[in-house]
Amino acid sequence: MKLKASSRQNAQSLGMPLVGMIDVVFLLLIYFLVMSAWQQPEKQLTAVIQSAAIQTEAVTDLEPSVIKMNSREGSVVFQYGTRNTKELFTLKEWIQKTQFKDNGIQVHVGPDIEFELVTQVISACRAIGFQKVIYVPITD
Amino acid sequence: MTPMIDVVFLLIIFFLAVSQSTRATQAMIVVPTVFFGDPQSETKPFLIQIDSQGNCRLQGERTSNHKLESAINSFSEFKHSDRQVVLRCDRKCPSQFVNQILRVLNQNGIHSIQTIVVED
Repeated sequence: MKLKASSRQNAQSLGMPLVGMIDVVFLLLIYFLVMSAWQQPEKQLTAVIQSAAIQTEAVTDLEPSVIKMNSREGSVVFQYGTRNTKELFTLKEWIQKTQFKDNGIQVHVGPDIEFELVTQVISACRAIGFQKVIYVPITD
Repeated sequence: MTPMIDVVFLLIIFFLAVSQSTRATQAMIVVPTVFFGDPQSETKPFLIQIDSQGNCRLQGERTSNHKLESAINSFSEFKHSDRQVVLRCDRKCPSQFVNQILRVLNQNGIHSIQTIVVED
């Protein structure tokens, strides 16, 4: 890229606007610097996968809490125990009151639910203190 | 003046190359936004990407959903290593596609996944 004296002379003799070109180059540089700075750092969520078949076999005295997510009439219904809600905030309040967090929590995910909502439920469980979050995919 | 222009051009070429390669590997996926996430691990994971339409890529290679099981089996290193399985899924992707992939992973002895998110 280093311009030789002869080529620079040729550029000047051809009337190449060197100052304008440097301005454009600097603008490009600033654009890429700003774009790379704006990218949010990615994080990760850990979940254990457990099929519904295994889950029914492995019944113990200390069963984990269960959240069921199902799509009904265009909206998502969260079932926690015998209670149902459509609000994620209400679900968070319920799971916060759970005493035995060491047993983990199962999230049963039905079809037709946006993945972001699933991750928000898993994230809430991890933030509340559940070390083990078990993702149970419901394929039927 | 000339060395400065050289450096500026090199920087531009660097940023162009990085942005192009990032676009190619990330396959235009908008990851979910959550309140809480763990830091990403340093080890190179086994990457599964799912876009908003449910199209799947294993390690960057496009894979049709009905051939997923055989595709996973074809990666012999996948089953016989301790590498983490990382799911990079679009926030709008319907859960049936994720469920199908997780079921196949579970049947192939994968019992833990990491999901890529960004914090709010």
